[in-house]
Amino acid sequence: MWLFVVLILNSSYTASLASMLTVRRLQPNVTDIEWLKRNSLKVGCDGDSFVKNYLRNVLEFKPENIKNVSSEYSYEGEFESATISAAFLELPYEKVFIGHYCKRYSATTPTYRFGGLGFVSS
Amino acid sequence: MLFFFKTYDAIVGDVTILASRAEKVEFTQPYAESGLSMIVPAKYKESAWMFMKPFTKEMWLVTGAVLIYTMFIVWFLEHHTNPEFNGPWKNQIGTALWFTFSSLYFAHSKLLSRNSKTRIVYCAIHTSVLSVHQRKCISSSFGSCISYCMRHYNQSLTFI
Repeated sequence: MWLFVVLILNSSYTASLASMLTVRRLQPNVTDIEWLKRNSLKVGCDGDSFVKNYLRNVLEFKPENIKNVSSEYSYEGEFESATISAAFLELPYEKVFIGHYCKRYSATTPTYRFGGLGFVSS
Repeated sequence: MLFFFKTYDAIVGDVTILASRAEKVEFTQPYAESGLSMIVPAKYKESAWMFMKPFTKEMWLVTGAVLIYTMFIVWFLEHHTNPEFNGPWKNQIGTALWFTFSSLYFAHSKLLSRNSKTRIVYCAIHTSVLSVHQRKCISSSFGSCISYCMRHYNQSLTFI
């Protein structure tokens, strides 16, 4: 009886440890825009910026999957409550964001380039 | 934006240069480069306490309690007759503890040494069942992600 209990205990420990490590490996690290779209995960961006239209029209995210995040400091909470799976920021703001939360987030290198920031006159 | 330009003559701020905007206004040379960058949470790091994760705290407590209980029962039954369980207190406790913990590793391997293949197969099946179960959990959390409703947030910082 005791040996049986010990056997079950021992093998379930081994099995669940192995399965935990396996699943962690299988879990995809989000680095791919196509993957986000395929799984229709929510992404965050600034609603006042042109980035929102860019995500919808050029990258073809579904409008219901694009979430307005009004402040740069709100992204942290959105990620933690799993409301968004990824955030899209322009390069300068991304640098500030990563500078602020250096270790907990990682940024992909930008593949979509814009003209840059400039001053405006009419 | 058009409203904006009837009000102001120039903008000194973080305005991204875009073709649609350049049709209506004039931009200076870019003073900072821009591009679209995706931010994702950093990959989970495995901690040194990973080996504690398979069982919950309660499970560990119960396991410990059962071990101590068995140790006590074995000691209680054996210490009259078995000379190994005699002697000073320290020896008795030591022997009882050693017996219990060694049973975790050695006893059942002796018992099952003949059909260790069965055990390996059992372990493998158990692992795969648990793995599949955890995968399901992940996909259901994606489901809850999708069903999230949009909310409005106060605006505190804007960029164009």
